[in-house]
Amino acid sequence: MVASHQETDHVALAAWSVSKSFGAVQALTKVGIDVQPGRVHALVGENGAGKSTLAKILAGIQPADSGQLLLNDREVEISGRAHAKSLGINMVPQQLSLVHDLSLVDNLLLASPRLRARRSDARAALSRTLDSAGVQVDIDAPTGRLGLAHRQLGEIVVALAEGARLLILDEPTASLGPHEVGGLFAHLRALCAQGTAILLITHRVDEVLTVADDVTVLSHGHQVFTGPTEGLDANRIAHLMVGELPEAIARAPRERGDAVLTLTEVDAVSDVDSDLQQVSLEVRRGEIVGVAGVAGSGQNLLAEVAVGIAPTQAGEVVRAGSTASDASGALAAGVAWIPDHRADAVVPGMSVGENLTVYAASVDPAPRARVRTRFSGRRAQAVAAQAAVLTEYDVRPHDPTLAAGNLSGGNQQKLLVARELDAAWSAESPASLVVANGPTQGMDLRASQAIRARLVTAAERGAGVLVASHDLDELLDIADRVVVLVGGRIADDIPADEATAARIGRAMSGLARAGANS
Amino acid sequence: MSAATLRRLTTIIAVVLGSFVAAGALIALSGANPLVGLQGFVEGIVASPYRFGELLVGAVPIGIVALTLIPALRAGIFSIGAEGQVAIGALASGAVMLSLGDGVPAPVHWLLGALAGALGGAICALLPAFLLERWGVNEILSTLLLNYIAAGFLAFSLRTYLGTEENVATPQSDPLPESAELPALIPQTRAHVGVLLVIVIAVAFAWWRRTASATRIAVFAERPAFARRLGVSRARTIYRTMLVSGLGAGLVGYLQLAGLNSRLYTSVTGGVGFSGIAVALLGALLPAGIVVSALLFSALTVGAAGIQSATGSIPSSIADVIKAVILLGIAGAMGATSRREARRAAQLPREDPEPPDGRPDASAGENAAIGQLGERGTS
Amino acid sequence: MNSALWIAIAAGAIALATPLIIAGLGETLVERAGRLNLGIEGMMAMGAFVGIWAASAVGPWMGLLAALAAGVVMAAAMNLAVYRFGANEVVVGLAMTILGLGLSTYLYLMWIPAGEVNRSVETLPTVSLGPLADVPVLGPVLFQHDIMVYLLVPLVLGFWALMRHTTVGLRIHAVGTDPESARLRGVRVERVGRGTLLAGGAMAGLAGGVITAGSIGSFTPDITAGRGYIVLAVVIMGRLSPLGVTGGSLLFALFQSFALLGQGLGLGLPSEVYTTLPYVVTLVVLVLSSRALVRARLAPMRA
Repeated sequence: MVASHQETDHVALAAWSVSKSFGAVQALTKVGIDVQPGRVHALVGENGAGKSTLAKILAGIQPADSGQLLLNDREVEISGRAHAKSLGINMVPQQLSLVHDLSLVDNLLLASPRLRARRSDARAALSRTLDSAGVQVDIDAPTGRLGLAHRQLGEIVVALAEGARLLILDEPTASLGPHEVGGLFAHLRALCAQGTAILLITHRVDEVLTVADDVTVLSHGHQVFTGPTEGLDANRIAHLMVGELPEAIARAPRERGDAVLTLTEVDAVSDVDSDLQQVSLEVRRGEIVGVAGVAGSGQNLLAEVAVGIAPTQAGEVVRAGSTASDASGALAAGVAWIPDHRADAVVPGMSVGENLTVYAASVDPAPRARVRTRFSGRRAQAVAAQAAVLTEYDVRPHDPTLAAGNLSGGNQQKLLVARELDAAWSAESPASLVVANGPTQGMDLRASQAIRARLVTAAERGAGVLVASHDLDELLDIADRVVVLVGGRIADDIPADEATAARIGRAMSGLARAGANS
Repeated sequence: MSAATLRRLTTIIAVVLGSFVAAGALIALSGANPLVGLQGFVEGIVASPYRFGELLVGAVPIGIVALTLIPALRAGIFSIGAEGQVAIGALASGAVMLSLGDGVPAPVHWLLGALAGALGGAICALLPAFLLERWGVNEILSTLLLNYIAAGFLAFSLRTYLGTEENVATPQSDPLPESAELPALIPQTRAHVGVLLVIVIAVAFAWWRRTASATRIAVFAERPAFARRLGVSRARTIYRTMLVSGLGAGLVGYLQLAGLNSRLYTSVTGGVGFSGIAVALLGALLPAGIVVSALLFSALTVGAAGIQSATGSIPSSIADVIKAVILLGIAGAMGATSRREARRAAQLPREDPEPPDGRPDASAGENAAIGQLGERGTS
Repeated sequence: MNSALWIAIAAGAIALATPLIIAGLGETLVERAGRLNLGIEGMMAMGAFVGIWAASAVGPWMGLLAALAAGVVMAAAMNLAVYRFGANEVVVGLAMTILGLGLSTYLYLMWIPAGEVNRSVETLPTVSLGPLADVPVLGPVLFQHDIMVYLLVPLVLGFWALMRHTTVGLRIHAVGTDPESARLRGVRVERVGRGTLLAGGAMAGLAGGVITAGSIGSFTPDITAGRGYIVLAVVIMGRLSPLGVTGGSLLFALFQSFALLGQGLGLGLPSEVYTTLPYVVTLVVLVLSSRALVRARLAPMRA
């Protein structure tokens, strides 16, 4: 189970003409890939392009319908996950697989075939791996207490300690901030220098150019490109991924109205995020305010304060003229909420249609005026109208009678967006304030673009929009100004015409001038 | 009637018939004639108006307990304290009626007795609600333990201040004043006004299911954080739903005392609390389903006595075996239905082959509410 | 004070705690794996009947084995309903309790029809541990019991070691706290769940057998008298740890033993106080431990 780092250990894995279908859906059609030791190979494509399917086939999690795999130029049948691991191939899934309550040591022991838990052996193996990879992570703390970036590294370290010589990383950067991504990539390059082969699955074009040596592009289950990244530029890769690029969002000047969200010297505490200190912020109708910050700088808490989920210790919060301090008061004032965990706001046991209309169905008559359902009338009519909304927001399948828990994660996110920006409100009085926290997390280019366009539309209809995101490009794309949180304080407030990734990044690391928001 | 409802009904009928066949097999294995058993079962129910009245009267307490448990179970709060709440309800109403005495007109007895019973049950339910809300004390366990404590308190009361001075073998109270006893609704039976009350309560909960409050509770059960946005507070949900179940169980205590027994005995609950929970789950937390299930359970109890006297050898505890088999069968059939639905959903065309998020057997509607109970377990 | 009575109370507590500890150890595994066996009461009742029935034919040891097998069969049925058909485990557990209580009564009445004299069988022998049994106070309390009581020591230590020092224990913990990650790490979640419930059923059945074939020597309907439910309380009280469950069981049993024998102390308390006391104490301890747990959880995480 212990990795030694000799040249002979190197693993090169190639796939030829691999096909795979699920029922009527052809997920992969004659796809090939060649992952070489000492190189980072990026696998890119939209959601549903077949990236994960190909990765699971390589990692032995799913069998291919046809095609062959070559391990160090010899044909190989991978019979399962455990077999792949014994060959030195290991995959770190996107949602991470460390058991929260157990330490890295115990997580490593979890898959051990021995009955006795030999902790000292496991600890020694992990320490060796940590040393050789140049990583520092607490191996005895429950992994749930580690920060996201450390958990990500811990995951890689456990895989290496299990003997991985070829690592498949599925969207490892999805929830990391820019600094953490940089750190992770540095570690990946260091592993490559020792001869590890890395297959990096991503849908972010910039990452491909930053870290990868080779790239394979999948589109609708077909391999549309494979080769070195040298000489490629971002536009070319994006074009390969999605064909015609989605239209860039037009920046039309919007009318600014009254303030719909005013925070005055707000303090709030949280134990999973930085405490907010003396935060003052105003969002006006028609305005899109971006929130940037290193993960855990208070952006989650700020979003929760804005929608009234988190209580404040001091200061004043006014939403659309209402000082109601609770979440239901905020709802009545027309505040839409897209939380960073979609599971928080989608009820899996209720049908998709019930999820769309949950506000109208659960709020007592008095404040209902605002959240009146648009799906009145006979049941068949209501179902048809809901199906139309689902189609409009590309929620698949568009069947309102289905339990929401049966939808895939991406489609649940679209469902959430459809409700918060659209279905929840009556046509006469749309949302007054939209609070979106990482609204495009884990979504592909096209879906992300669609959601960003919806946020812009909401602002055009007169809503104030507060959007927090780890994706700086997203903020630069749509925000009229970007406030930067550092340790729960507003460190900078940058208008769109002055905002650049470099300036925001500098502010995020605490280098901005103080008191910029006063 | 939609195709889905029809399929559901067929399944339920099939499960019930299947359990009867299983019971027949058990009777045959025990060396008796199953057909004689079946005849005894039917006769046990319809042989006389009195027997049929017993069927109705037996369905009343388990029906009311089950109906008033709907909100709590829907919210994912698994209170099994009905047994103790019935006991305290009976005790409270008994104490009130005995102290009012003979000189009070019947309606005053009925009103104050019922009120005292409901309040007694409510107090007994609010204690575990408080423990759950305040310190997260698992309600399954606290209500369970309170059942024993309530039984002890009832026994103590009947041996001391409420006990009769007559020379009797078991602890019991003096007879209730005659004006306090509920008259029979149907002549020649013991069926009292509680039979109508079940219908009223069932209709009330059928209406409640369509209210905003019911939706909020359903959301709370699955997504407590999201429920806050709908104005749901955890404390209020716990107190209110437990209060409703306590009021119902306390009222049942009153009905058992004033409607069936002229004296208060320690055995007044007769296990209706536990049966009520089983009936609530069997009825899928639907008012109509609960009424039917309560009638079914009562019929099994009443009919089993008929089996025993017809065959002469088969113990009436065969009723419990059949009840358990039906409960198992229905739980399995409902589980299988929601799995089928999830599979159907997974096969609908969509371009991305991503698997569904979350649990594979999540499903809409009542099944999910019950599915919720298990997840919380003993957190 | 009457010291002989106190010794009898303490010795009785250990005997009364034995079935609780046995069933509790099994339920500890079940709840560690994130499941709940609400059918313990029924499994204990079936174990109690099957145990005595088999013991009357082939002796107490085979009786215990048969009781264990009865629990396994019921747990297997529960697994079938939950995993194969996707039934809710709380409902299935409740059904198992009703089934176990009903069927054990039914079978008992078929075996010994109402009105006939109950059958008594030979129980496990009481073993006095030589000179240890003669130590004053401790001797009669600890060292004059049937063999099952002594077997508890290796059993409790075995379960403790299983949870603490084996990969099986780690897997059970992982499945209970984070099944999704456990699955991704290669743990077969369903197999762990099925396995722990079978173990829990075996222990519950055995516990029932210990009550009848082990110590009393006869069966009466509803002989478990809610002890299956008490096991659930004790497991939570003992924070899902084998040692905690042992402590909790002993505490409950001590008060129960006090209720049976303590009325002879002449304290002048109503008899219901004695019979209710074990439940009151269990509730109080449950409240205190839940409160401590909530506070511990809130301290680092005020959310």
